[in-house]
Amino acid sequence: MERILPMTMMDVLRCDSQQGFERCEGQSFSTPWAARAFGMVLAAARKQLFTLNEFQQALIVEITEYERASGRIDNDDVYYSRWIGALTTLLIDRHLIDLRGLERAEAAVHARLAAIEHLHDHGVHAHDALLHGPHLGPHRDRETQDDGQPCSEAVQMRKGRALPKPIYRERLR
Amino acid sequence: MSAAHSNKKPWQAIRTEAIETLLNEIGVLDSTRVDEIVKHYEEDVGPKTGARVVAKAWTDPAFKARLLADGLAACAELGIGGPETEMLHVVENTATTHNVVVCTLCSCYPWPILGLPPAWYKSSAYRSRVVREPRRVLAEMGLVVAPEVEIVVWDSVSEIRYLVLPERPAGTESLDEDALAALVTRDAMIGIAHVKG
Repeated sequence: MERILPMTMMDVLRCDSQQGFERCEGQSFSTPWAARAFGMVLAAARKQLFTLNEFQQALIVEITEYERASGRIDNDDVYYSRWIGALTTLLIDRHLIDLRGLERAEAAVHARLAAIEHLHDHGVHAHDALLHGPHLGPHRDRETQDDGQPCSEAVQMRKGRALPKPIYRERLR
Repeated sequence: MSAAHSNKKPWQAIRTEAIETLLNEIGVLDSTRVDEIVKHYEEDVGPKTGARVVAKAWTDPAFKARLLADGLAACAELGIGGPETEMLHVVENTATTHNVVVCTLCSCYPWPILGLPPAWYKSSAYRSRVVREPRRVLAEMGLVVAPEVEIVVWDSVSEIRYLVLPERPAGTESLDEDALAALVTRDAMIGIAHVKG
């Protein structure tokens, strides 16, 4: 499959920042939801709900399908949207959530936001529970099996038998 | 009250909140852990973390040798690392070799060493083009690599993450580690820039 090529890096950098080639060292997420998606994936991996390798594979599928159908990824919103898609798919595949439950939960979020808007429209300050979501009670640990398969190159490196190989080399002279 | 859909929050915000609520309800995720991870990667880890590694390698030949042999173990000597990176391979730039890192399929990145990746690193353009025409891509990003210098591209699609050890700039012999670390940029550790003295 031919990859989508037309954008130059100048175009990408313009999309990324109004500062042109200035690539700031800023380390914050562009949106709160991107931060939550990132944090949830790492937290879930640390709790062994899935491995990061499994998430990586799901993300690769999301990105590939998006690029094939819609074009290019050139900003964080588009990229982290794929992150959310991969997380959703993985959680459903692992039977940790299901579509019906997800729809209900999203409806509940909408309802909460509508309630906040209603209060604001009437000049009333929203209660903290509305602003910040339902109170989350005590939690219990739950472990799942880690059955991710490392790639052979990584296994070889772990065993000290081989160094990784570059994907491309180029010298003009 | 009917649940009129808010038009102020994007679908991504609705979805992430819904997922997080569900996972909390079934007891498999703790939102405080999510908060800690986000805070860690926004405040505690970043290019300055990797810069310490580079500066140490520039001033300590034995550490540099250990870094090139086993990146994660050497970083751990400096208290750097985390569960998100299982293997780190450090590649050294020289007068004849210039290394650049990409993840062609999804933008894997050594988070515990460099923090969050920039948007351009995740872009379709960078991921697809740097493996085909690295010299041109680097030039578009402001780095002209001499024709006699070999460009080597490393793809992070496996579990291995890569860190470029850039060349120490000339005229920095009198600088201590802290001063050297202040010169090292994220872009140099990915391979799209040199470190300037």
